[in-house]
Amino acid sequence: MSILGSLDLNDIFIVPFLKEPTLSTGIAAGAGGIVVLGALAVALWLTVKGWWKPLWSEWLTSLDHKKIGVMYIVLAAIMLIRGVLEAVVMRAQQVSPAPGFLSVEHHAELFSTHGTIMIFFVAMPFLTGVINVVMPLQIGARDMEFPFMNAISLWLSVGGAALVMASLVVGHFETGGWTAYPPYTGIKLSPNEGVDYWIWSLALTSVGTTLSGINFAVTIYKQRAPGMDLMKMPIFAWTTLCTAILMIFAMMPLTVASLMLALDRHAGFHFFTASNGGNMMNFANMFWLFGHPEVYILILPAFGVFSHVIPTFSGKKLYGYTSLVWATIAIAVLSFTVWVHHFFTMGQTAHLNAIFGIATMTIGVPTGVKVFNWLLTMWRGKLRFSTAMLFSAGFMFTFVIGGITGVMLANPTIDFATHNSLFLVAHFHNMLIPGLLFGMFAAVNYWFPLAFGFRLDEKWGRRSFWLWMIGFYLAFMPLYAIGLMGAPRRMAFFTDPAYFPWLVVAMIGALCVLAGLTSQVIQIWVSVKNRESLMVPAGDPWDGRGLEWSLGCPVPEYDFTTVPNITSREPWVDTKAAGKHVMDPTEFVDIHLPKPTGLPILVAGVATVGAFALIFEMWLIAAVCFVAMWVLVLIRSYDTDWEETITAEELREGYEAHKRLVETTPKVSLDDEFTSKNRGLILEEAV
Amino acid sequence: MLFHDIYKRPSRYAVPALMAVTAVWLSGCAENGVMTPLGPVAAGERSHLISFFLWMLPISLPLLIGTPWIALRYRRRGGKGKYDPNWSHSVAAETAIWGGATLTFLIVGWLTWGHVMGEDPYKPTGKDPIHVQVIGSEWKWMFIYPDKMATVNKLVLPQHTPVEFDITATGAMQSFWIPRLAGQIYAMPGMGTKMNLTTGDTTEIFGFNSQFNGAAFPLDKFEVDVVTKDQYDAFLQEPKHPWAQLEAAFKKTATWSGPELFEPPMKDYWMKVMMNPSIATDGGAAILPDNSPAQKDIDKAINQDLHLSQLNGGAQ
Repeated sequence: MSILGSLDLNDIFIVPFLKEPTLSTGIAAGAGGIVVLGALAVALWLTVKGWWKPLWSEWLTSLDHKKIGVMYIVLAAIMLIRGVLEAVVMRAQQVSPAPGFLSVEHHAELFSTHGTIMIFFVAMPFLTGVINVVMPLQIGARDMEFPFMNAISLWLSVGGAALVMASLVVGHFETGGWTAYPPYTGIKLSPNEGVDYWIWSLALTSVGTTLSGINFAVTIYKQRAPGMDLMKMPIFAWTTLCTAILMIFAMMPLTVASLMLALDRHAGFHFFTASNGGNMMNFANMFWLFGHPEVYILILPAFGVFSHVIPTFSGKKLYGYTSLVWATIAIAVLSFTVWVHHFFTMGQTAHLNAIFGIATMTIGVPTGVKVFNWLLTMWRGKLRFSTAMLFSAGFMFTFVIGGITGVMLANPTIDFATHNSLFLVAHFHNMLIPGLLFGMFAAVNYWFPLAFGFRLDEKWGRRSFWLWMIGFYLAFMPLYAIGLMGAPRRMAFFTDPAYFPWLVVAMIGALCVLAGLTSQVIQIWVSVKNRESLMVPAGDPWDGRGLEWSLGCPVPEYDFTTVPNITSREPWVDTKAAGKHVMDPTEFVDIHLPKPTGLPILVAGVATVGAFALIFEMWLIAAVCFVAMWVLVLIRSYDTDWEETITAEELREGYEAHKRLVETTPKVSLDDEFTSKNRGLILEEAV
Repeated sequence: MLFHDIYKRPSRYAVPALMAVTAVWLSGCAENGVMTPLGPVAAGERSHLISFFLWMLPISLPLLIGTPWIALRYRRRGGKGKYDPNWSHSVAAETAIWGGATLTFLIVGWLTWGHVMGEDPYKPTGKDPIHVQVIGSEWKWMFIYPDKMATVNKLVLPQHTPVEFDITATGAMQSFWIPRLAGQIYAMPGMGTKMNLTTGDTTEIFGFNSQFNGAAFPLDKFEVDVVTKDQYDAFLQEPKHPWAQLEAAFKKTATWSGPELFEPPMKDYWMKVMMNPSIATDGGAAILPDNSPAQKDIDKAINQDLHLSQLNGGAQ
């Protein structure tokens, strides 16, 4: 066997098009071309600007939790663009005259990559990034408990995403949807490398996510500021803790199931094949044992975001803190008890279906309570509709509709009539677009100054909100309707003319969403261009309530000059109520922060090359990479010179400088919150 | 400009937008879905669907109305609401929220138990149901009327009669679904599942596989004719092709365009297929290179099917 395994010329993206030029192969070649040219253009741009060196030394090798978080979000943003574009192509395919311009296989690759990307390479990195930036600042920590492992998690996720991107250029992706049920994904029915792309990109990112979960949980357990007991923790830290626990326990079944599938495909095992004692029902079982807690991994951090954005922009204390904490814990526990509702139609007994259906409905109780809590937080407030607040309010309204259809689907007899239909597709988009994306968009708009020191442009932010909101309704309400009219999901084309007008509306919705995404790109561009007038160096640009707003923007590398003593749930509100705008320092001491290192990127790079080798059956290269990966980890283990010290004196200077800045910055009224007068320190009434 | 308008005067746009959404929702019922049932099982599913939607309204409407209402009333500029920045707990509100949510849960949970026990697909829907054995394959369906007949892509049933399906598959996992008669059940290789339903008035509809299974997935459907009892008896007496012909062709062909009625197979053929799916087909080939001859055949079949659907005015 050749050292290049099963790789051959036909796997290169342009070759199938040259052999047989059709619109379908042309689109595939075009997409591959965009990836290659895009990568080249970025490389060229960095070279011309001379940014390689600063990029490497300040970002790629950084172990600073804020920078790692930002890089996670950049990854999510790049993949989000691809995911939305794929959705637009699929919508276009379904409104063009049947059989459309894509082959059935090509369409299948699109819905499979769309799902895989949106869950694993948009949602997961997005929330992991936001947690990374914000959570340590909220609990008074200077970094994650394991900064090196944090970087490993990031680069493993990047490696997984790189493999999905590589599938556009070399070979094919999987065609069995993001769930990849065997036996369809077995070696017999899917003999090409597509399923292996799915398996190994997920293997990389799921290991990364498990490590992230451990990191978040330990950070919260060990690094809280003195006095901050669990019931004084901000809600976002609570939702992070529950998400982290879910990550630790839920990613494992996915990793194991996908590795078992790999053994089935390449080592002649029969875990999931119909013959020799295998059973594909086990795959569905294990996949959803991961898959359902995953839904709450995705949604809990967004719940945390709303619990901060809504009080801040309502100028009011969060309603029902204790209620929210217990609701979060309840959701986390119950999320492990409902996974069978993803396959009510598999023929198990009625009792089993009924019990899992009812268990599913129990989750509706704490979730419903949460939405009421946010509503009561707004009640008797003074609401300011910033972009972040708009996304939060849009979430509350839209999410309730998804909740109604969710409880409907939880009834097994209704599920029989709507499973595998576009009704189901509409439902989960109705949960995840508001419940995850809107939350993350709100988080970025709200906490952006912490990372970069300036606010985001409000005008383009609000435009993006309305486009996303209207686009969502136009794109998915029609799918509810035609789902009830019997339209199955994953269909390359429909011949029933009754669906056509609905599909046209959905197409318009998809374009609207694309315009929303474009507005966000413009928003970033405009904000960077006007950053001088958007700067908020004194921090706290929204009359914030959490500990993170006691810091100057951007937050310095060491986060806190001194670790504050916590005596209440909202120490920053108390400080401001006492007429102060800097928290009293405690004790200045020397601190140690990890030095930047290129090892995480190397470890993950080698792991990614190894995974690519496994996809194309280059066993020798894979083995070499596996050994190299562990050698690199060993090298790190023997490295004793990995810390740098920031002296107490430097910290004191940092504190004094911030204090002087705060004292000289004029206090601004909330009326000027979204104007260039806002240099931080916004207050209800100007002093 | 529009954005500015919406932001300043949300109420002017909210009402028409809501009405449009409701109109879309209410009109969401047409041909081949559960909303136009033709048998008691699907009718039951539709009534569950509507009843659950209605039971969710008491807890959802306060949120759906309250969110925009509170957002307007308590807006900082121009809002009329009272400001109480430290109000963050109320025993009455907590009781109402947790109580209301729990009560809703108890109601829908209670209803669910009844629905599921009442519409267990494994429970016969009447005395002496007709037995039909189903084998799903890439991308065609075989129906066996034991000792009487075998058909491909054509299911004929007498009206107002209970039917019990024994379902298995070869190749990939599929989902057996006739939406206007009953909800779906998976058809899985190496496994047997059951579905029971009662037919309604005479009709011509279609059922299909709803679980994506490769290149000809859009063609993976079958005709369902509900006929009078006399027509059904006559159907069973129609001239048939020999079983051996079906057995050989079923194994080789991806999509089916040949004759539909055949002699029945030997007595326990379905059971043998369930134990060893490869005796019915080779498991097909879900992934085909664009230029392979089998893919060309599938493309041809897809185009033929589209042509037919256009001749019928698009109706299936």
